[in-house]
Amino acid sequence: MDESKLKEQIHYAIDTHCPSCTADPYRVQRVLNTAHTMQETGGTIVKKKLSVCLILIAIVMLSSIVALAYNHSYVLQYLFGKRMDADKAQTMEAQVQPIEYAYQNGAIACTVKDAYFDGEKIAVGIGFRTDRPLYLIGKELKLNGEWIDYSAASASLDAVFLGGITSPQTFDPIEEITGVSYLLNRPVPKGEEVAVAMEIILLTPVNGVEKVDTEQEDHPAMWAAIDAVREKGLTPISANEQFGLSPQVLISNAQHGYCDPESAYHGPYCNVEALVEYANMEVLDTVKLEFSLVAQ
Amino acid sequence: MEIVKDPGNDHEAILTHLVETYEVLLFRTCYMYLRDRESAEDAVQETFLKAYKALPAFRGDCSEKTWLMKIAVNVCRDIRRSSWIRMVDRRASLDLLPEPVQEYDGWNSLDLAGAIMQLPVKWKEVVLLYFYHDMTMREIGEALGVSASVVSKRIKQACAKLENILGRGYLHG
Repeated sequence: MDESKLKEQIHYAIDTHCPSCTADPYRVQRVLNTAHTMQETGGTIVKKKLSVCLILIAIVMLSSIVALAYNHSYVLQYLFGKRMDADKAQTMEAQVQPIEYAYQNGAIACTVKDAYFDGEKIAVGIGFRTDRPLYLIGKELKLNGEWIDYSAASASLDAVFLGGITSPQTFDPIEEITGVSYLLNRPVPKGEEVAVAMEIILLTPVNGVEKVDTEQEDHPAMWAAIDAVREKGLTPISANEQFGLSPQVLISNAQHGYCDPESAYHGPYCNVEALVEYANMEVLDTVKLEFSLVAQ
Repeated sequence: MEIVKDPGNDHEAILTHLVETYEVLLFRTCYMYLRDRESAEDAVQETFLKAYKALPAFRGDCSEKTWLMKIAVNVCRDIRRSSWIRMVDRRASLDLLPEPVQEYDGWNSLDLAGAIMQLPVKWKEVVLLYFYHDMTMREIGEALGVSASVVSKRIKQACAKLENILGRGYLHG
């Protein structure tokens, strides 16, 4: 292999690949502002106090927005989230197909309303309501009875760690729209109907959760804290998840690893049984979804 | 001596130096890693914020680039792990990626960039750090928390995978 030639090729490919990945002239100031704000507030961004009246107005408005959102497509909400781009969502509506599926297990409810399928990309929006910390693990998707081979064209399924909904034991019932999506290696021709089958495993902590500060990543104290929580029989979750995302179940340094289909690694990062045992959780149930979609 | 290792420099000056030197490289790297521009933007901001906060603890055991890339890799891993469910469909697919500026020596840079983006994370990490950031295997090992021999093995595997995706002979054609 001509390594210098390959380096040159890769440099050129990456440098020309994202024209909009440019410098932000205010970067330094933005970093300093955030750092100073966090320092003043002991690590968290201060939220301005609102009057009771404003809070009530906000609650009414939020309720309306949520009601509107829940009437809208689950799958588009899942795909676009808070960054919902109306124009983009509208262009994708033609590929959204209705699915009727409802699952109930005690206070846990799961509803599937629709899915997106353009022959290459398939996504399912799932509404969850739960009264307890719940962790979702999505298993591979089956099309026409066959597992999709995800190790070839798409790396999108190189982990089963879907994230999910976890919270301390003082847990209020919540509703959340989540979902799963896949990039198919072999596109399905337009107009062809496929039978889709998927499984979602629901996990819950056996004895509750305890948050671990992950601000200082890779610091020995963080790994020790994760191990200490485990030894108490609790489930370690991240205390400072960024970007408004749900906290993650944490796995200590010794058990950390990647899911590599070609290796024999079967640690908690990519194996449900190992994760359940490692993180002091139990399997509540497995939701099995079966439906048909037409490539639009 | 690197500016980060000089205790005489104030932290704001160090941050300015890091941003000026690495911001665009970091942005492109995070974009290749996360396959999503907005997530990459978040990752760059978070990387510099973490670096700024960690400056007092930086002992100079490795180069500033290795140190910064270690932070960036961890931030990208965290974002990817936290949000990969949403990212699968938000990732730039090949048909949505911008056209290459020009053909180069007969091979298509778009195909190569797309192929790198498709690599499993552990291979993508070494490709970005070794071929794009010109880091040594030892430095990459420090950043990723693995030995240099593991890095070497992953580089070979990544190249084989790239050839598998692009077709044998593509990388040297």
